[in-house]
Amino acid sequence: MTTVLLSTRSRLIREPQTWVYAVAVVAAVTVVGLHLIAAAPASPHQHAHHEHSLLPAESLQQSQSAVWTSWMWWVLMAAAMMLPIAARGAGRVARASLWPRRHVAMVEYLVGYLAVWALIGLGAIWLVAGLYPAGAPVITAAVALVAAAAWHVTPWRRRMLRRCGSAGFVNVYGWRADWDCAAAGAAFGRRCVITCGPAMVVMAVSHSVLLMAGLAVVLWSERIRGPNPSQRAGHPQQAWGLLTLAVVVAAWGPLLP
Amino acid sequence: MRTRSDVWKLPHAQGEWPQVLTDYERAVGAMRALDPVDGARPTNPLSWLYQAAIHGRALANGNSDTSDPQWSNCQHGSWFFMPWHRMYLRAFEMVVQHFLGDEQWSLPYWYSIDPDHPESSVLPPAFRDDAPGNQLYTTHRSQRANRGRRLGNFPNLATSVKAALEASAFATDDGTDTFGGGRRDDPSYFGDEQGVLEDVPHGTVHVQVGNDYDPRFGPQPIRRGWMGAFSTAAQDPIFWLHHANIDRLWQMWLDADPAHTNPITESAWADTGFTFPNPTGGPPLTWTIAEVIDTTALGYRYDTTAVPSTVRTPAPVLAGGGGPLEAFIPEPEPKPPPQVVGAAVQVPMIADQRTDVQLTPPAVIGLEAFQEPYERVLLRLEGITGTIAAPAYGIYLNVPPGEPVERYPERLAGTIATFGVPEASRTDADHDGVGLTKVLDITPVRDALAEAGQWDPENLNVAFVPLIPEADDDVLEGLDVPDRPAAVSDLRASRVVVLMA
Repeated sequence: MTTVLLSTRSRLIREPQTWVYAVAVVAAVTVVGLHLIAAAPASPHQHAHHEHSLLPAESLQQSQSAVWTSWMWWVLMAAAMMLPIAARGAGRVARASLWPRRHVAMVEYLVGYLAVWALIGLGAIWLVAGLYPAGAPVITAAVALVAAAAWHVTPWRRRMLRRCGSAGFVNVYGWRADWDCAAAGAAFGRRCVITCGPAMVVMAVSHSVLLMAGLAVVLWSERIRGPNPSQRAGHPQQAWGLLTLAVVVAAWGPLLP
Repeated sequence: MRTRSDVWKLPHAQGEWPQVLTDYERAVGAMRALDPVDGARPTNPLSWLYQAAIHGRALANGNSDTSDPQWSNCQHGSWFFMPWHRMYLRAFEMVVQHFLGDEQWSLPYWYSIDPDHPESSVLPPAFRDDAPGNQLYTTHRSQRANRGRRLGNFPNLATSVKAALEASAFATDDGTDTFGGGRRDDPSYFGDEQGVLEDVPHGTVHVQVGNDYDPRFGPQPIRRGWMGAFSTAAQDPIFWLHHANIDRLWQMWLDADPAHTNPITESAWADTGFTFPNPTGGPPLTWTIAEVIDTTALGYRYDTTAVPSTVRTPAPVLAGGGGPLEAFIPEPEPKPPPQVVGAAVQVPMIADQRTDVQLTPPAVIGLEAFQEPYERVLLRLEGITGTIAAPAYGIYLNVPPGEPVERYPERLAGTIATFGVPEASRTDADHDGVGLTKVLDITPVRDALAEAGQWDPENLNVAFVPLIPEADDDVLEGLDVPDRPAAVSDLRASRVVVLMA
């Protein structure tokens, strides 16, 4: 027992970012929970609306509060999907900081990172609400996925992905340390928006948890540690995954949980 | 099994070149004959310029030329440095064998950094012979090298070879204190972290053989040659012999200590493959790293991998082993990562400017009762960037203000080389220009200072001293530089970090 505890403790010391994955899981569970609540008993009128759009009808019709609700969904989804991608960078910043503030450094890094996604999400949701006051049609998500698949294999994206790693040259004392960690997270977030943003547009027009899970798997898969790292960026396999999701959405969009 | 031999020890008749070099010169000539004559892009994979472009080739704007997928593929600043260059050498050796029609020809090595024999740092005569038509000679090389001078600052070079051969690990996540460099297993990788071997032992030879310097003109090279830059290094025929020696030092490191092992169980390293042109015209040569870690599997070995006399080697293990229970002893947990105890950011690495790094005591991590306590102090120079730099820098600690560092040789923490820094500083399509990261073990200096009562646990003062080789009096001949002011280095480190490990 002591050996297991020691081993776990040792691992947590070597991989201080472990809790970031736990936060992502909590965010994912929250998204699923909220989705189940939102999908609970609906009127026949709402059912009819669901057959043509991907968002709950009421959230799109109650203008401003609906936008804020959608934004909250977005932030939760971004946390669930993107925090695992940011975890390694957070761990690097933690190890670059003084030991007592390693977790503070990671929180600052992740706040900077998620702030970028939150801002982008706010803009995207306002835009979608303006374009589709009655909810985005199913085809929008499918088109967005096809566009994301095309973007996925472009050389520009491949190069940007290679440059995604943040350096973590942070101060270790005072407010500059706080600022540097948050700025490092924001810098990584900006690059993530460029590389993964087109795929995440889908989540601005759909709250499907199945789609969220599928997209997350696609985006994580290209970041898995393994051989030939320089050849793996922009791999066509992920593009095929996005196209498959597009087909699924086009065929069964309104039925997707 | 072929043997790669020391170029200085190849058998030869008085006044003649060794046969191995005569053959090499002939093959280089044949490869150059395939180069385009008008400076156009090389297209024949067996031509000299094409082979050199595999390592690096620059566009007019200085960025890497990747218009051919085989070009600008050299791996530096990571755990791929050693295996990629091993494959590159083997593929090149096959090209030479192809032109010679001799599969037994072996690339010799130039042990220019032999701590026990500084005289071997002189460029071998065949490469200095300026007889017309000698393919091994080039004017795109430092005058010092072509005149048969020894490499400058040799004691620092020798020390760095010792440090490399005593490095405990092949790779770590952040490259700290490694023989081979930082891990890279994610497409979105972090900084370029050199191993100890890649830094001074490898880089200094590149820069000193390639470039001429004159201390009167500061750290700016007064003449740039092929060996001094990634994009041209492999155009100099001596490049291949220098890298054969670096390749040999990999085997030497493995042989020096049973604890020295390749990260063969890590798929991200072992299963990574690289591809090179096939001289026979068949399918491209592709190897995974796992396939090249044993040189005999590639058909060659080195004549010797004996370590220099200064390198510590472990005491031989007594016969008998650990007994039947040894297999049941669990693997020890890996040590915690080094702990940062102080850092300064945006540090100019120029002469006469010193940097204070505020230190804090290492924190209690909670495993002290079970793990070995932190014993060593490391100085990590992160994100070194710049375009004007001396070939190497000495790093001195806690030299009193106003005192010349030369009076405190015991406070020299180590040296770093600047080969590759300009390339690593450039932001282009594939790189972020974050610079190189290097690590020095400053424990001996800390101990010496502590013994003398001069170690301040709250502050470390760091000084950077450019190490510029002495120049010959006529080094400026043919150059229009008499009124040129001394250049000011723009070298800087994004962070100077002190760690406990």
